[in-house]
Amino acid sequence: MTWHIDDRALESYVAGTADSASGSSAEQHLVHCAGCRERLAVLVPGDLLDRAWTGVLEDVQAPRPSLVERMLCRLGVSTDQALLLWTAPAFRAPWLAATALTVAFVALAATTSDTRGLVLFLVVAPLLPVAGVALAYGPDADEAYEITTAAPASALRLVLLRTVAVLVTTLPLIVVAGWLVPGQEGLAVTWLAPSLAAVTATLAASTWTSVSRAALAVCVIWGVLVVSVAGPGFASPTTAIAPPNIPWYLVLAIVCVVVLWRRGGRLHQLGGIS
Amino acid sequence: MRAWSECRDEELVSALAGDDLGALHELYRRHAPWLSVRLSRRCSDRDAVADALQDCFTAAWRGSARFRNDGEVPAWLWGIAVRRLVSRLRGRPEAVLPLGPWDGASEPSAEERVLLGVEYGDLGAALARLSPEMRAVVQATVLDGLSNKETAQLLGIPSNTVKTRLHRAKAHLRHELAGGIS
Repeated sequence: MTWHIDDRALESYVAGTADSASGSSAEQHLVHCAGCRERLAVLVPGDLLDRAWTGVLEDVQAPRPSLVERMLCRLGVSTDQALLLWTAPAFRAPWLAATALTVAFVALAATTSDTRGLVLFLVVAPLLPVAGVALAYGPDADEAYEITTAAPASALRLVLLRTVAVLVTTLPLIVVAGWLVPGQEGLAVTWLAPSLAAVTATLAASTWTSVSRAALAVCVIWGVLVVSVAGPGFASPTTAIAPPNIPWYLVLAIVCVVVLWRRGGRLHQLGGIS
Repeated sequence: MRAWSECRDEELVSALAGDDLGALHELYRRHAPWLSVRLSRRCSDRDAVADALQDCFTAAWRGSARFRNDGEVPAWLWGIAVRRLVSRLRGRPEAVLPLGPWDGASEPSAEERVLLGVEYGDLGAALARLSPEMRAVVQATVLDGLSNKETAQLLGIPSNTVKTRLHRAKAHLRHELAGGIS
């Protein structure tokens, strides 16, 4: 191309004083002419360019949010909450693997052996989310613990977010497993009620003691309950989740949520030395 | 290895895929100045311009694989930059700059008369007689290559209005360039 923008036109274009015709002409020419771009570059003040470059460097050197984080942001979760959720141990591969393995084992036991296997499944399945919650926050489980304690977010919000993470990753696994156990069509869903009660009870109890101790107590109580109502020789293994008993779990869950709501401010000791 | 300053734009863009900050810096050195000036002509807020410029190069860094080798790098970068500006200015019509005065056409010089008149009919004068609203639409769609929807976002008007104004502007220009100045 033989035509080039003359110096005066280039200066007025950079200064923003060019009229629309010559400005637009300059723009169309600049897209195709490296020489005129070089001549223009020396006329542009550097402050804005330096500022934007610093921003670019920060952007490209920062770690990229993971796929899950970006999906959560897409769903309307704020960036920092997405990070808090994503750093939950429940999203780590070892935790997911352990959960899957346990579920597979107890489901297999419920399928192949006698009623004892079914009792085992009933004891373990509702408690897996409890174990997840117990490990959701605290120095021995959370790799971001030091950071989260210093973060200006309430412990209650963190715990609730992490509980959501646990439920999202754990529940589908157990629902599928329960559904695969033959002859117990209702099993896939009915254990959700005691599980809900157990999780909320753990959270509520953790306002008094550490979450690990609370979870341990809930586990022991649930295990004793299932075994004791199963009758001699585990004759009726599913009594604990028989339909008439379901409302009690829901009432317990509601009570625990109220307790948690009222005492949420005391969660600072949550996840203390266990 | 050659210095980055000796590489062509296309080579720099393909080097971005290899996480090479040197290539990004050279690309920025070459293209950020004219991009910043061109963005500034459309937006009065310098912070928004800096943000759009930053977004543009960050997006180029992450999306360098989407650059097709058949296009020109400057046009590709401008396409990213102007869209980033549009999304930065969403809901802030006060920061969008109207087109400057069309001086050249209101009193065209002899050269401009020849330049514009010979090849295109009196395009400059025809454009000058467009209302500022119609010219803004022509600039965003024809010169900046934005879609109707993006133009609507930039100018803060409904998408249908963009279509109507563009349609009217084209009819007006066609009429004038056909010599039917009444």
